[in-house]
Amino acid sequence: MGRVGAVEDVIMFVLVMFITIMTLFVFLVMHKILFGSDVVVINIVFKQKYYPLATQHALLALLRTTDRETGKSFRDLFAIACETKSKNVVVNGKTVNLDREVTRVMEVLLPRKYFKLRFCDIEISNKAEFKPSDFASTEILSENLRKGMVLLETG
Amino acid sequence: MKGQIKIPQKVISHLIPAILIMVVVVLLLSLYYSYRVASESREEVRSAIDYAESLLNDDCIVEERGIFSEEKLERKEPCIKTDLTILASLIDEDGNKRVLVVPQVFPYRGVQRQFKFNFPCNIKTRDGVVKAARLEVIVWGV
Repeated sequence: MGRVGAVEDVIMFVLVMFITIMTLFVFLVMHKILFGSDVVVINIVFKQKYYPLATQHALLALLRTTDRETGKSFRDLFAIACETKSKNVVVNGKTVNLDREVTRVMEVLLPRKYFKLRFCDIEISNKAEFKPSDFASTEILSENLRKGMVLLETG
Repeated sequence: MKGQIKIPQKVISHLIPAILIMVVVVLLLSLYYSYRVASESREEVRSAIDYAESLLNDDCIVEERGIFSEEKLERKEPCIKTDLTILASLIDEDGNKRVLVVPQVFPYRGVQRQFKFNFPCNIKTRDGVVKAARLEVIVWGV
């Protein structure tokens, strides 16, 4: 009698397991079909230190880039702008609109990102107000060998 | 010999606790599996970012750190090899796109998510002009 009871328990256990697993399987599949996502989803969260140093790279790349009109690097153009305190820099009779040119280059370096570049009381940005998530800075020398700070904020 | 009386138990009284225990066990297993997959995926993405950073400093294609050499890039024999499943392209300010690294096997995109990273850099042309560019890296994770 006892052995029969044990067999019954085992059969019951197997039956319950089978029904439960099938129910869960159907539930998981239906959830995926109806809501388009798994029941348990773990999003990958990167630590800030693991992100690429995009803003630092962008600032250095911007300073090295040659302006096609004048043949000068942006570092040189910023150095001249530090003296004239103007966003329009004149080199060999050619005028460079830093606002337009910096925005064009930044669109290549960091597409679809907001930025704000500041140096020697000059500010260039593609959006008036935004919350910066990263920044980079470096020094430049003006034409009169005065040190100036270039700060790039992105968000 | 004394007769034994077996009290019949309702099936439902076995069923409910068993189902609850099984649900908890399956969800825990599912959570653990997702965690393992996410960890592996994170490692893969991290390796791809490190590799892209190393490309910016690879003598084979770079003149100095962050400045790619057009002359070196136009060599006939490719000099970059990796087993990582990444797609790395160099896009300059004129819109020209050079593919530097192609994954040996493209992952099945329906299952995996794409992570795209941009590494701002420059390309130095033969006539000495330094153009703005970006190294675009795509890596697949879960």
